[in-house]
Amino acid sequence: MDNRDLIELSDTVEDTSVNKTLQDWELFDKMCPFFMSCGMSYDLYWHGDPYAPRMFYKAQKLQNERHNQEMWLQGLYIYNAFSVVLSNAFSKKGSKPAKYIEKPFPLYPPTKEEREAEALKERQKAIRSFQAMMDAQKRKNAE
Amino acid sequence: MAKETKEAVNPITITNKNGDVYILDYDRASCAAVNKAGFNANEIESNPEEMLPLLFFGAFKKHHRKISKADTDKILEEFGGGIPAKMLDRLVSLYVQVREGLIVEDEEFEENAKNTGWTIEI
Repeated sequence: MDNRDLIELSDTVEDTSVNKTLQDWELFDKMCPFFMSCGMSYDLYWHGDPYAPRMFYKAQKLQNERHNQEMWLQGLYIYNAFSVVLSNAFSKKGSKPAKYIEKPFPLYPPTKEEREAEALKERQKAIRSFQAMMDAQKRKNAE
Repeated sequence: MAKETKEAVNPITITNKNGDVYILDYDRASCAAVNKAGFNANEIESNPEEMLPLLFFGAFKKHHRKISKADTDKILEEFGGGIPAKMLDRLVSLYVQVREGLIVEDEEFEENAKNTGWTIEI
């Protein structure tokens, strides 16, 4: 049910199935299960704030959007997993096997601290690699 | 709870000479009950003799469930046989806002329409 349905139900007040004008109580009865499916309690719908259904409807829309995003992300992980499997299955012998991503995809941009920590890690890795290269050169010269 | 862009209509408080306080307001249950009893907001002007007492009676149902139509009719008689204009406006607004609560905001509808290539000018 989308916005248009709500407006049609409440504004044009025509029930096309029986081709008659909906009475208010019929409209309320008809809409009750929909708002209960949005998480609204029976008691709140009938006795609570008249505008509460709008909030539940908006919340339901946000929930749908979030769910849609989660499904999309899940598809991305599955795609990645299939890619790894297929790549390893059809790659030449001896080639480096493809690996499934080590960490989940980041949902938010990294914070300043995370960026600094990552940069430090990269620097340390470069230093270690340089030192290993120097040690190898020294050993070669000693021989 | 926030009412988004619309301001909520305040209930009416009436007090009799004995100090009994009545709060007149509508929720969906009382709207449905009075509607089932024959009230129709579109007939207020054409059939006020029948509609106004029902509108008045329904407004008691939210906070004073045990009150009877005879009791509210008696209160109306004590008012002088009718509902004061200001009170009538408020009662209608209270009734209408219950219906409005189910209608999605216009801006949202217009935005959706715009996203699908429609422009609405009223």
